[in-house]
Amino acid sequence: MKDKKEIIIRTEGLSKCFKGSIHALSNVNTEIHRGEVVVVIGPSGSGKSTYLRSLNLLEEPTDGRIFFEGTDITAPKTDINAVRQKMGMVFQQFNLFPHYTVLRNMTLAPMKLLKMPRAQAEEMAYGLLERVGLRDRADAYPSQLSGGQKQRIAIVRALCMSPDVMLFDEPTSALDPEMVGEVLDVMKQLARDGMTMVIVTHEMGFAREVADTVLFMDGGSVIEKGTPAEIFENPQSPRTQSFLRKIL
Amino acid sequence: MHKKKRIIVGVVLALVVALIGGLALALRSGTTASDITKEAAEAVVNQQLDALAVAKASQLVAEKNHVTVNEISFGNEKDIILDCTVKTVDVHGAVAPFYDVFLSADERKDGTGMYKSKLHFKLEFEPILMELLQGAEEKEADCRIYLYELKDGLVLYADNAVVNTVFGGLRDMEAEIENKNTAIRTNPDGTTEVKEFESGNIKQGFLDCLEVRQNEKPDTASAFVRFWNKQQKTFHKNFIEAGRWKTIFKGLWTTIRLTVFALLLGIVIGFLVAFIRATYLKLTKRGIILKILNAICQVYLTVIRGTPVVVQIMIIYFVIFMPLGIDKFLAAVVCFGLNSGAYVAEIVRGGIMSVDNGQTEAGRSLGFGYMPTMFHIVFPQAFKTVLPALANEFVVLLKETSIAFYIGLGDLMYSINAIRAATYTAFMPLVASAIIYLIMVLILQHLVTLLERRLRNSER
Repeated sequence: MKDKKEIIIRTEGLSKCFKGSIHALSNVNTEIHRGEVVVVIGPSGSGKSTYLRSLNLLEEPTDGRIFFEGTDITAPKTDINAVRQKMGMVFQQFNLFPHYTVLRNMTLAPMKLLKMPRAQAEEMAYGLLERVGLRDRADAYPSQLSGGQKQRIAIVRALCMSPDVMLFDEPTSALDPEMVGEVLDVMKQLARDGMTMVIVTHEMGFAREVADTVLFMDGGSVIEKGTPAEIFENPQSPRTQSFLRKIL
Repeated sequence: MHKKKRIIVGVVLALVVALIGGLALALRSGTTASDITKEAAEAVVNQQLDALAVAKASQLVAEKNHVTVNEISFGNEKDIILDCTVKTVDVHGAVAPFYDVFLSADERKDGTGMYKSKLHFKLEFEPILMELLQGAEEKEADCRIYLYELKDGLVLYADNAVVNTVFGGLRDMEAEIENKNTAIRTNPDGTTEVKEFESGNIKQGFLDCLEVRQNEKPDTASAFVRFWNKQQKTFHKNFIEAGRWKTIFKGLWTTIRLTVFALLLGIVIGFLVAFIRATYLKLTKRGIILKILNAICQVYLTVIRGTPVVVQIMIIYFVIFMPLGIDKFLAAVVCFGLNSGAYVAEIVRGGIMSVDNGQTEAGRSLGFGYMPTMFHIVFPQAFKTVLPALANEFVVLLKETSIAFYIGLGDLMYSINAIRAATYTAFMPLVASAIIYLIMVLILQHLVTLLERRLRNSER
């Protein structure tokens, strides 16, 4: 456990209420430490994705506060764009930019936002591509890649901004089964390197192997929180038990 | 399969063309006129020559002259060649010594300062000229005259040379008058002074007294060839004469300039309005400024798309621009820019909305603000989607600029219409304008296809 490490994200009473008064999130209080890998599990519609997307304000919470590295990012004066530069995000549908090459997808943000010189940005991009084994696809367009390749590119695209936290929103759900492994391998590698990660996933085996902390969510609330061993071997809440029974 | 078909069609077409051409040539050449006696030919020639004189003085000459046919031969264009002796009066010789007397007449009316018309001079000169011609010397000359056999009888071909010979050097006289720039006036006291012409009326009035018509070579060819010849002449009249092709190109240049500027203005307005509308529709939190901007855009779109462009251009020019003294070209650019902007806006808005929301989210999650996300990520993708629709709008714009004719802007349509009015022919100028517009549209469409292909290559 990494309890003693600094808290990087803290949510206080986080709530989200969509129009039509469905409570997607209600009073979520969580702490994420530097270097911690948090896996969020739960049935569909439980608010996992809404929680994750709230962390970088892609969903604006209707109530509650989020602290990132000590600053309240829900405060109106916060420069959310600067905060998002420090929080990488990977989507279920990859969301690569189809009109740019892989290399341009990766260097666009560092060059425009961090004012990084092209040569340096490309060097970094090639280094990251090397790590995920896709260096030879640098000049390809996203439509020429397989799903697994796209998601790996999406991960390294986010890494190009050298974020402090990586958010993964069901990164393997849109993939063909044989491609899931290659994406999970990259994520495992990332976890080993000490990246702080928040992952929403249905891959229980992966959760058990990689997670430091597992959050079980249902009905917009965190029902149970603990180490993988605690959650998977000895769940306390009946809802956790019934959920795990269904999927394991 | 298709290639074979095309070859067959080509061969058939070539055969048809060859057949028609051959037929036309066969009908045109190698046909001789019917036999005719000298007396009959003489009668026709004299009668038709007399009919060419249309003024009193020239009619007097026509009465005096007489053509005697010496020899008849036949050409192969249904023509009869007559070698004749012409007896006439020496018009040139009789009038030449008096040029200065006639032409030095006073050009202004007494006291009023107005110029006399050519009719004044004609009436003034006519009796004097007729007296002169009555006393003119007779002369004789040899002349070759052609008669052509048309469907409705024999027609004399009286060209410049024939008229000149038969009417005693009349054309020579006319040329000399035309070339005179000054006349020498002899005052009653015997002194002389050089006088320059103040108007063309005096020369014209003099020439009118002796007017003799001439005609063009009668066309004995087949109907097809005659039609073809006529078309050639009409073509020449509509496009070559008086530098009319230059007028067309000038108008064309105006049309192109107008289209390009209106296009640029339309794109700027269109993207701006589309951006505002799309932002309004996408965001849930809308500031007051955004609401006002959206309302303005909404009104703009409704008005522009709800009224005819003819009404718009007339309002913009006659109501707004003309009182301010701003020129027509600018008015037209503004009108078509505004008009096209409204359509471009809706097209582009559709394009922006069609880009997956995940693209925006990906951009925002990397730290891009709303505007940079739009410019780097959404717009390029939207542009590619809407390109065909935009190209179509530009083609419409190009054609629509012909409406600028309503405010009298000298565009292509205006030039075409000017030619139509000047030549009294509708077919050729109008078809020419259609062809020019069509060619421009085809070029534009081709360019768009190339661009589209290039954009598509960037992904595949």
